[in-house]
Order: sequence, then C-alpha cells, then structure tokens
Amino acid sequence: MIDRTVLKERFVKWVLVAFALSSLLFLFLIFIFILAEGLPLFLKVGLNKIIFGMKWAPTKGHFGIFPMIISSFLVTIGALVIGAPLGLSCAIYLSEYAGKRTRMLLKPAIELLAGIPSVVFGFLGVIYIVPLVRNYLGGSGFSLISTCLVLGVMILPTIISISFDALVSVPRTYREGSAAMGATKWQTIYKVIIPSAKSGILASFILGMGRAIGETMAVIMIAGNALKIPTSILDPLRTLTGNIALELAYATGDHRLGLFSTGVVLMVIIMILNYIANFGIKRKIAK
Amino acid sequence: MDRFALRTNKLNLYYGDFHALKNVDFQVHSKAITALIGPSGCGKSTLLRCFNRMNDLLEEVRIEGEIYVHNEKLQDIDIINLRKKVGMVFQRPNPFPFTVYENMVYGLKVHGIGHRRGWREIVDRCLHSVGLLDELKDKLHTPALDLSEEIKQRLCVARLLTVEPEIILLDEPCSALDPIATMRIEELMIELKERYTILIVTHNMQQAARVSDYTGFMLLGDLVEFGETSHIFTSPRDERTEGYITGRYG
Ligand SMILES: Nc1ncnc2c1ncn2[C@@H]1O[C@H](COP(=O)(O)OP(=O)(O)OP(=O)(O)O)[C@@H](O)[C@H]1O
Ligand SMILES: [Mg+2]
Repeated sequence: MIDRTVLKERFVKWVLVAFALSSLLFLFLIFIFILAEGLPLFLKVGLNKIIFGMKWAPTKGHFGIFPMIISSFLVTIGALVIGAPLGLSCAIYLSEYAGKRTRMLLKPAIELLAGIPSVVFGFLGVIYIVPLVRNYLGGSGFSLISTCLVLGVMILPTIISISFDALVSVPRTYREGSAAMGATKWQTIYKVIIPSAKSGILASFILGMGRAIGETMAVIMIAGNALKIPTSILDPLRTLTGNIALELAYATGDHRLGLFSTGVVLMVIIMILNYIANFGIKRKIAK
Repeated sequence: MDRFALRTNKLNLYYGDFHALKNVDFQVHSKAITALIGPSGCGKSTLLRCFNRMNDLLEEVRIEGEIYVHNEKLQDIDIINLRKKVGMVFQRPNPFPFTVYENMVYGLKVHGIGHRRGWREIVDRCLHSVGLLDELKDKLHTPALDLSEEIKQRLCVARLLTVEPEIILLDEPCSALDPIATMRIEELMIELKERYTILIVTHNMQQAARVSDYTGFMLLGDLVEFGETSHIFTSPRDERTEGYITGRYG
C-alpha cells in the first residue's frame, strides 16, 4: 500500500516538473514565433537586401536594416569602451582593496543599480546628458555619444558583479605565492590575479554587451532615432531594438513582418554573444 | 659570514586576543637545515611566516619582540627586498596558472632582474638546480598546472631560486606528496643547503630526523627545546619533547 505522504511527495514532484517544462516550452514558443514571423520576409525580399540594405521605408517596400545593425554595433562598443574600464576598476577595488564593511555597503548598492528601470536612465539622460552634449560638443545632443554614456553606466552592474566574482574566486594561494616572491600588491593584481580571472572578466564584458545591445527604452529616448549610419559621435542614430519599439504599434502587413525580421537579426546577435560568454565561463570552471 | 641567518628575541605574536607565539628565542644557522616540529596548531607556521612578514597580509595581528636577518633588524629591511632575500615554499604547490616559463620569470619581472634575453639562461640554471631541466626544457611553454604535484613543488622551489634568495622557508612542503616524491624533495633540500639556509616546518618527525641539522620543538606557542637534531632525537632535555618524539601526543 502506498501511504499518503508518498503520494503527496509524488504530486509535488510532478507539479514542479510541469512548471519547469512549461517555462522551457514558453521559451521555445517565443523562439518559433519570432522565426515564423520573421523568416517569410527574408525569403520574399532576400537576406542581402534586408541585412545590407541601406534604406528602411517599409511601406514602400524597402527593408534595409544595415544602418541599424551598424548603429547597434557602435552603441554597444561605445558602451563597452566606457563601461569596461570603469566596471573592472570598480570590481578590482571591491575585491582587492575595500575593507569588509565598505564591500558590504557597496556591493548591494551596485546590485541595486541593476534594478533601476531603464526608463529612469533614459530620463536622466535626456535631462542631464543630452543638454550637456548639446552645450559643450554641439549638435542636438540626441547622439551616439550620449547613448554610449548612458548605456556605459547601465552595464556597470553586470560588469562589476561578474568581474568581482571572478576576481574573488582566484585562490588565495596565488596571492600568497606572489606576495612571497616580493611582488607589490598592484603587481600581484595585474600580473597574477587579473590574468587568472581573465575568462570571467571577459564573460562580464560580453554579458554587458548583451545588455547594451538589447537595451531599448533608454536608447529610444536619447539616440535621436535617425535612419542613417552616424558619421560622427554627435549624430543621432537608430538601433535594432529602437526600430522595433518605435514602429510596432502601428505597423501592418509587410511592415510588421519587417520588424520581426529585425527581431530575428537581433536575436541571432544576442545568441552568439551569450554563447561566447557561456563558453568562456565553462572553460574557466573546467580549469 | 655570521653564524645565524635568522634570529628572534622574545618574539610574541597575537592573533587578536589569541597568544600564538610566546617569548620565542629561536635561531636558524646559516647554510644548514633547521626543522620546526610540534603538534598541529602549536604555531610552527606562524613562526615561519614571521620571517618573510607573510603575517602582514592578515588583519588583527600584533607582533612584539625582535627578529634579525643576518644581524639586521627585520623592520629595517623593506618588505620587497626582505621577500627576495627570504623566499617561501608553501604546503600546497602553488604555481601560477601560466606556462612553466612564465612562472619561472615571474620573480625576475617583479624585481626587474636582468634582461629578457638573459632570462632563459637563469631559468635553465634554476631548473637545473632542482633537477628539472631535462624534464621541463621542452615543456617550458606548457601550462604549469598540468604537471604532477612533485614537479609543481620543485618548480616552486626553482621559481624562488631565480631571484637568488639567501634563506628558503618551507612550510610542510611534502604534505601533498607521495613517499617517493617526498624522498626526492628531501634529497633536493640536502643539495640546496650548500648554498642556501633552509628552515622547514614538518609534521613528519622522521623527515626532520633525516634532513635537518638543527631542530626546534614547539608546543602551544612555546619553543620548548632547540638544538642539534641528533641531540633532540636521542637525548631531549625536556620531557615534553621526549613525549612528543616517542609519540605520546600529536
Ligand atoms: N589568521 C589567524 N587568525 C587567528 N588565529 C590563527 C590564525 N592563523 C593561525 N591561528 C591560530 O594560531 C595557532 C597556530 O597556528 P599555526 O598555523 O601556526 O599552527 P601550526 O603549528 O602551523 O599547525 P599545523 O601543523 O596544523 O599547520 C593555531 O591555534 C591557530 O588556530
Ligand atoms: Mg602549519
């Protein structure tokens, strides 16, 4: 005879399995849905004309998203150029120099930064960064540089917390070994600790890039959304995510499909980034 | 050359409230092997780590008394030169996760010794001193972490020798090794004592008896007895020493 507790255990287990599977199923459905909506236009218009097309006028049959791919790329690299050195320095300070108490105070504060809604970042950007750029550098202020500055700050929490984890997990024996050889603290950090934590640090940069390329709200508010490849850091631009968010509300027919194609391209780029990041992390664990 | 490479005078060390070394007067003879024995937790590592100021890395450590390195006060030597002069080998072999060559030139880089072109010669010479040259000369650019534990430990010794230390501290250098590897490291120590002063902490009394010229026995933070190894093991003056070496504690 199976008693009631055993039955209850089994019931709980199956409920949990069902939930776990359903979240996988949702993910899979989203993937299929985007592909199903996005791929037909690729077949109809042609991969080349979409990915390398310079002109986006979907109601007139032009679906070129090349300027947006380049813009997304520029914005992401720019965010990394600003966020990576700042974030890494901060992680080094936290893991190597900060006392226990400072660390306990700062770490949660930085993690909180990750929880600030992106519209707030966009708002701050419009109020402070855009006028600053307009007044001191010129142009309208809605520009590549403003976007990079704001995104650079937005990706800090990702870079800091993942780099920090990589740095603190460098074994104490390496630090001791280096110190015992007469290395100064900074020599130990940059000749031993950073190289040992290299793959984790790289993973943090790549995940930061993923965050930057996927960011939408703040970018729409600051980037100016012009449909061309920016030729200076003061030019406005439109990213892949911005394109979808700006037009989806009123798009119909092929226009709508064009936005899904934009989504497919974005998804592929993000998947590649995640794959690289995971690969880096796994290799580190294997060591 | 002075008789003692290292010497302490009424050395006391506190970890917070815990009194870990009590009035220790200890000497390490030049160009000889001195062993520190005693049960776990008696302060052997703590004493050893005083000599290259590794305890400085810890918070809440207080040290009183004097330590001399060749009659020079420890505090008067800047820490970087001190650690160059007094090298240390750890319990677990700890090569860096780089190539063998990168490990070997680490000290040279840190202390700015010689030129890149001359490094290879120093590397070869030091690998030769620890009997690794034949084994590793074709593997200089392979990861050091792939080596066996014994080879790693030898590599750690070789890495120290590149900066030409005078004194080598070893904290239970064989505890991660099998008996045959242990024997070979012991032979290495005996070879090295012609040129270096060696201080070794060990749990293994046979090891102390086999390799050392002088032995100190510690118990609960006291240096109970110190003298020539042959005396300590055959006719200890203190009954606690006798108790330990005949296996009554620890
Ligand atoms: N960082 C520290 N903070 C507080 N107490 C410590 C610290 N390091 C060591 N101790 C204490 O000091 C005493 C001596 O430690 P030590 O490591 O020198 O012993 P040991 O003789 O080397 O022992 P073992 O043979 O186990 O290595 C121990 O009681 C230990 O608990
Ligand atoms: Mg110890």
